[in-house]
Amino acid sequence: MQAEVTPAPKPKADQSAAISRQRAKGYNLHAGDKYYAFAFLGPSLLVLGTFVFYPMLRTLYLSLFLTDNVGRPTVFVGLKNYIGLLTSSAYQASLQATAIYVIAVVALTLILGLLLAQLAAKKLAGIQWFRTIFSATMGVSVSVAAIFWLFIFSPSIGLFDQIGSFLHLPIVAWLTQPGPAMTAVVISTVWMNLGFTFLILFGALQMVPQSLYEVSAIEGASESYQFFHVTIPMISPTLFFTSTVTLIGAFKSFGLIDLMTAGGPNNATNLLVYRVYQDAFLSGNYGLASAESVILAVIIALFTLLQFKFLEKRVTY
Amino acid sequence: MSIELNALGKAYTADEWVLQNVTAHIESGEFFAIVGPSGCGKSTLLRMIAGLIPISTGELQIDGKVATDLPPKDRQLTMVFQSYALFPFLSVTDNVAFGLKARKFPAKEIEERVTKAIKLVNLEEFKDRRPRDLSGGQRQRVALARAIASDAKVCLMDEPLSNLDAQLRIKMRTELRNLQQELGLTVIYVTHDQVEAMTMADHIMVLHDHKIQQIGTPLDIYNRPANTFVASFFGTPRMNLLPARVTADRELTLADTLKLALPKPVPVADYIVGIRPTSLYLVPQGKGDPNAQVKTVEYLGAQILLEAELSDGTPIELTADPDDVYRTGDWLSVGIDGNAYVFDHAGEVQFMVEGGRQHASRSHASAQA
Amino acid sequence: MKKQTVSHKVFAIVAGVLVVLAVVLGWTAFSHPSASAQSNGRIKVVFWHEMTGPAQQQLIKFSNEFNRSQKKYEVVPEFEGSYNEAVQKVINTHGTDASPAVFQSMDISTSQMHHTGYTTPVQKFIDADNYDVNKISAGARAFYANQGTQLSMPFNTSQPVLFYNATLLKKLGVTPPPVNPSYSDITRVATQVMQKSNKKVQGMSVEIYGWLFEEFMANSGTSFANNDDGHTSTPTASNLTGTSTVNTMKWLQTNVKDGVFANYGASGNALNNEIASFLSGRLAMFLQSSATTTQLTTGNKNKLGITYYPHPDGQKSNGVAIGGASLWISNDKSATVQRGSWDFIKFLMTAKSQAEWQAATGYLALNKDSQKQPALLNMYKKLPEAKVPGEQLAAAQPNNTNSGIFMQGLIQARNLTQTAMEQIYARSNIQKALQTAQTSLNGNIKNNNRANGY
Repeated sequence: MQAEVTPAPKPKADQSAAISRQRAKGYNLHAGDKYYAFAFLGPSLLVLGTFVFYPMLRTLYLSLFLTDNVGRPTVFVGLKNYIGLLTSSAYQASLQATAIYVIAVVALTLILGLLLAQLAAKKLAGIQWFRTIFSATMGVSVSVAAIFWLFIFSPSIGLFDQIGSFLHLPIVAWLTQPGPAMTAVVISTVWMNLGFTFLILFGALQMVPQSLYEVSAIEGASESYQFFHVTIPMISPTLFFTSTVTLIGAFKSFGLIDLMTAGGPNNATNLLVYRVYQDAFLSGNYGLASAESVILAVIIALFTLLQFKFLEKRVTY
Repeated sequence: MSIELNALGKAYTADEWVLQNVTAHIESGEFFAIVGPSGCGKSTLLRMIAGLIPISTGELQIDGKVATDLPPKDRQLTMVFQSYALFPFLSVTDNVAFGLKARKFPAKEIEERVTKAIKLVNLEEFKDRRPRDLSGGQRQRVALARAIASDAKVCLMDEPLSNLDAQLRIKMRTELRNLQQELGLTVIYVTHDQVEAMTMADHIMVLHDHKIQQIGTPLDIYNRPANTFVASFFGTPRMNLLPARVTADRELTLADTLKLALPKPVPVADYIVGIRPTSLYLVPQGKGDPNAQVKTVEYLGAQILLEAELSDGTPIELTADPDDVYRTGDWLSVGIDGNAYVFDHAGEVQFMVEGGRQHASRSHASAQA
Repeated sequence: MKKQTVSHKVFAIVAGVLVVLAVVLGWTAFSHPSASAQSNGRIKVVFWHEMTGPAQQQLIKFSNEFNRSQKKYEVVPEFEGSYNEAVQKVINTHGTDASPAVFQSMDISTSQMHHTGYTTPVQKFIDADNYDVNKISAGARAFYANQGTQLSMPFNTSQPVLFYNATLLKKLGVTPPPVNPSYSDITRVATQVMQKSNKKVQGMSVEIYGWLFEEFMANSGTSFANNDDGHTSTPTASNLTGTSTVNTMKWLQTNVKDGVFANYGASGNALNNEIASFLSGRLAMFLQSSATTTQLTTGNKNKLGITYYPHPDGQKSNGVAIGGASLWISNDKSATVQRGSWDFIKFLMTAKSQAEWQAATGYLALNKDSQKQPALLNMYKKLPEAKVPGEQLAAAQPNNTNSGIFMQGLIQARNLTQTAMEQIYARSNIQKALQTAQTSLNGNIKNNNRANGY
């Protein structure tokens, strides 16, 4: 095909002009290409349509209805599901809890991940061992992590409170008080995230050419100046990637919440996504749950968009 | 600012010396090249001077002051890297200003110095571009401008031209040299390219095998190589190194083929004799007494490069007039008509035999062509 | 060019056909998983349950025994996860080959299951067989009946009870609570435990659990929802702010505030932590399902004490509703399969099966004749207290406030009452916390009734 449309060799300048013209217009489909296009796209369109687009539209549709006890949409209520949610204090509390959770998880994951990566990048004896340890949480499943942290946070037999009582510190009811419960869940999630984040950031740090640090050292930049003016900008594309992935992941956190607090106490850790699960799969309230899913999807899309708009500008080089 | 290297040494682990006993004096305003094959420790030496690698033994003085253990930023020098080490996320201007900002200079002074430096390297119209939008040569200039802006009088350069194409490299040699003279910089220049060193440097340090082989002016190094390594490292095509033995009172026989008359008698021993291809003459096939057979023929335009084998099988490189015709397998008659260097069996130079011509003259050979 | 176009078309058509073929083949392959439903000549009866541990083992044993006892049916037990998840699974698979013939569904799903119209009330088979239901505990039956019709067969049944560490109380010199304690009896014991142990032992724990909240109301004879807790007709509003409910919450709040009661929070972890503390002697008393008994006796050197669920001071206990789950028959299966399901249910309800069930799991034997079975007699010999939950169940006269709440959306309701309890434990205003829960609950009830056209 290409051979037919490519013009005979011409002077170089002319040819490159032709190519850039073609690029500007976009690739032209020829009659025969359309069949190819559909043949190749067909299977994936079919799969996407069945498993992505249809469920999305169906969710949107369901969110405008009350559903009966077998999940059929029966009464059209327009936006009332949404209005009801947004004006309910419980849902507002969920929004707030999600905001706190997401911000804390993203910030702590990135800061700690970067710290560990910086440490591991140091050429010290036995550092290989630490690198393995730091990235180890990647191989831990959510349920195992939950059991591990439940043991640590458990009242009366928990590791934290055992140590606390040994040191005569006041006992903290980690999972039965709203504030500490959020802290506990955030700590566990950050711990879970750390392995992956560490590995990615460590890889990014290794990719920064040594000569940049050498030139900075010679040009009079202190270590902290180098960190903020060389390291951070150099790994900013990776930071952007990890922050986006962590952010979306935090919005979708489910396993640890379900296993550790089940949204409690007093809905303090009842994140938006957990609410969707409760309303859809426990209460069978599909209309409401659909509305909640749509709100969650919009929020995630919004955040991702914002992130791309503001952060990506600063990281492209 | 002069620099004094006093018996510098570097070992990463005990008794494994990467560099040993490096002593040199570099004059203020001098262009000083460090040359050697890869792995000889020349970059290590440069980084030791820069302070990026700790010095194991010896003493470093910069401008008369001991700098052996000073951190890099306090050595009052700058460095230009082979990779240019530009910050990809900064514009040309900001790259040049990096060090000044890190050292917290007043904004006005930064601007003045940066503008001046960018102007010196002719990059005014590119000052807002990012490095990725520049050509290799332009990036190299940005790196230079950064070095210039810092106002340090010592500039270390680590193979700064290696990543450029051949033509640009030749152009940049002149530019670099001019800039160095104009600014009165003391430059320590690391390269593996002997031509660069020869064309740019005031003095050359030849490093090989973790040690200094020779320090001298380019002419010194070329005309009076201290040993077989230096002799064969400098000059293209490479000097031929032929095994020799004493065959008469004042005569050496090279590779059992060529005779070299000596101005004085020498002790009986094994010698190595170095002769540059340009110091050999040859007579085309059918004339003279054939003693070498052509193995490959390379046409270089201005001359022909021949790789041949002497009758005893020792390889030898020859240059020939481009108008003559040579074919693989031709038998030639080779003779000596230039300088020959006599080295002992360990490779240390003993003496030089000037114009060791025996029978035909060069003009004669040309006339025959 | 022309020739090429033709070959494109052919290529596209071939590719399209292949895709369609793959989809169709995939569909056929996956949509008939139980094509061999009658493989060995027996009719398959798929039984969905949500039991784990010893209870699951016992169910498998029952299924095998039933399969050996006759030749017509083959019961296939399948574990389906948590109670909550199973409800949705049953609803979502109804009418497909994947749906169960007989399934276990939890107490508070009763109204919802009934209203789906997906089940055949067991009353139909009781009438057909003249099955003697009087052998089965009345309190348990009442929970799963609506206006005289038995909807499902009560199966794994527990009672909320109070457990105490008798050995520990004796060591501390604290008189144990009476068998049918009032709130102040519990306060007294808990306070003494605290004082005499120098605060080393927690006196009491009431898990933040909607079920316990409902049981407090039941035991004080207060309706949770109107229309007699839904037993006369579909509820239209809830009542969470009555005096006795407020007083109960006040009792809990005061004791939590004074440190006499410990707060173990909500969700499954709370139970695990309570048990861990209780077994390690750090917690003297707690309220839980009688189904926990086995867990509390195995490997516990201390003597276990069990009493009835506490009741408000100054009034007799009204009796508590049962907890657990019942067995339902799907109406999307053939009459034969449904008959097989019923036969299996009958098998599970025999005096012998029920006695073995209680001995193995701690759930109560519902067949009155089970008490004379060797399995139970042996157990009582070892642990006389194990009789207490059964006695509590037998002592209560079923009425409209102690036979469960016949209302849909009880899972959501429990979330609301649990949130209210959490707030109350955290010293919030009781009236306000309950009022908030009630308002939300009434909104849910209204929407639910609207969506279902009641």
